[in-house]
Amino acid sequence: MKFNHKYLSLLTIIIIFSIWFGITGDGFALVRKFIFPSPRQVFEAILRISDIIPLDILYTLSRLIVGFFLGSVLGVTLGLLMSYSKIINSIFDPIVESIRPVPVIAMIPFLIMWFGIGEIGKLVLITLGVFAIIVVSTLEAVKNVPKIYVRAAKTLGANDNQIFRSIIIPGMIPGIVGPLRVATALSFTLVVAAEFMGAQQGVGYRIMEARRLFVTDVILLNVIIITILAGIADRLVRYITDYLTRWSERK
Amino acid sequence: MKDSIIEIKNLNIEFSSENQKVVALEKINLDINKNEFICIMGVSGCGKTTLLNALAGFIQPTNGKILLKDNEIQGPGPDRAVVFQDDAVFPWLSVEDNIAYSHKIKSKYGDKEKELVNNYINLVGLEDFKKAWPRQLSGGMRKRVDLARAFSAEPELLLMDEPFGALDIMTKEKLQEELRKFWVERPRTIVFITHDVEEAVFLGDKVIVMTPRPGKIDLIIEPNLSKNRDMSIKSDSVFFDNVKKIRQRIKDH
Ligand SMILES: Nc1ncnc2c1ncn2[C@@H]1O[C@H](COP(=O)(O)OP(=O)(O)OP(=O)(O)O)[C@@H](O)[C@H]1O
Ligand SMILES: [Mg+2]
Repeated sequence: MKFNHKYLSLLTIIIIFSIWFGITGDGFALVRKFIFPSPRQVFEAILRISDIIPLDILYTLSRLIVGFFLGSVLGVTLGLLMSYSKIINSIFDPIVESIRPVPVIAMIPFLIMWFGIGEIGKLVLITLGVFAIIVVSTLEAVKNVPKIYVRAAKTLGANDNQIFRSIIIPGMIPGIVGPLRVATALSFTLVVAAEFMGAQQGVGYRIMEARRLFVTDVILLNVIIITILAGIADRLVRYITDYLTRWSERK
Repeated sequence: MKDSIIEIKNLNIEFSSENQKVVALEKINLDINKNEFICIMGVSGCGKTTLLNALAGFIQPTNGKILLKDNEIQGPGPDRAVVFQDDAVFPWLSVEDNIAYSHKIKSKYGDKEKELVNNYINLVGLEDFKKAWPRQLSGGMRKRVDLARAFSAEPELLLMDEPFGALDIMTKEKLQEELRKFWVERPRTIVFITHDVEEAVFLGDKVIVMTPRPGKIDLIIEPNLSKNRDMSIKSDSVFFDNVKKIRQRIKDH
């Protein structure tokens, strides 16, 4: 008998939902709304704040996209430049090595002091976090491009510039696919943290505000929203990187 | 008058690290004529790859020199294409773009180049796989891409380091026949490295047998087989005698 394992996952989801129903206010009310809201309460929260949800999402996503984009473009560019030139590498290596292990969230107080609680501090936080991951993995990915391709290109008449464009860049892409996904997930954490530290709009800000007012259904609703967004973003990144590495063995 | 395009003069190559010194090649003297198909034969570790790397320009001689058309070889260049033992087909380029690589990196890729590339694609029988990714090909097909890519660069010298070493015997013999046919149709100077005696005698018009480390030239044989050949030649007594002679010589080392 063929057994579709997807049914197992479906079963898990059904069980989790049943438990959620069962123990919160809608069922036996073992857990009070204040501790963990019921599905119905979350649904009601949607109706209650439906006018501010889109705007919050818009703010959060804008910050995230700009920060992620800046961080990865800067990271890939510096990583490539560092692997291209020994001089650039020597100059930037100490900087990269010293910011790499810093948990960027620990920098939040400084960022507030330097940039206030406006948009710039938030962007710097996300950019920095993404940059640190991407620059290091770009360097690593370039190192992992098999030397035989470089040699073959040389005997086919390619100069350093052409090797860089036609061998190093395509050859390193599979090496930064994983890090790009990690960086995507990290930017969601960072954008929420950035909005915690002070904002007027955004999913993270809404969670903080709801905590102050003890409206836990709004907290849970926003947690769900940000989770769904992160899931969609991960799919999107995977879709794009799958396309860029469609030539590769993996799959 | 001389028609040699490569002159190897008193070539010595040593590798030294802090704890030991290896003499890989010692006193190699060899002239290679234009459009000659030379096979270099020797046991594992005798310095074949080292010789090829020196010809390609990846390593510099410790002593002596290698002249290509009277100029000392300084580094790798498009006049010497290499088919490596390992798979070196660029996986991110289609079959067609791989074979066209040497032309496409020059900004000029016109109708003339396109036609040339197409010819080579047809010659290796990959016309139905032009747009395929290398990962979609078998090992033997990838080797064909590698060969066509090297040929289409139209180099002065083609260097091949045991290109068929990793293939099964059927595929290997088929590619040997094709390579030979290729060469008869479009003569080129080829240096082909192998440790397979039959392969060397079948392909080469000149077979150079090397001694074990340190690698020296031990014997140069010209089998004098007919120019156009296929596998049936392997039952020929001339073929067999040459194979036997080389086998015996290697055993005596
Ligand atoms: N980069 C290197 N550093 C140190 N020793 C080396 C290096 N390359 C080759 N050698 C040594 O030189 C000798 C010849 O090596 P080479 O690779 O040329 O052999 P080969 O004839 O190609 O062998 P095979 O048939 O196994 O490929 C070996 O003893 C090897 O250990
Ligand atoms: Mg070798």
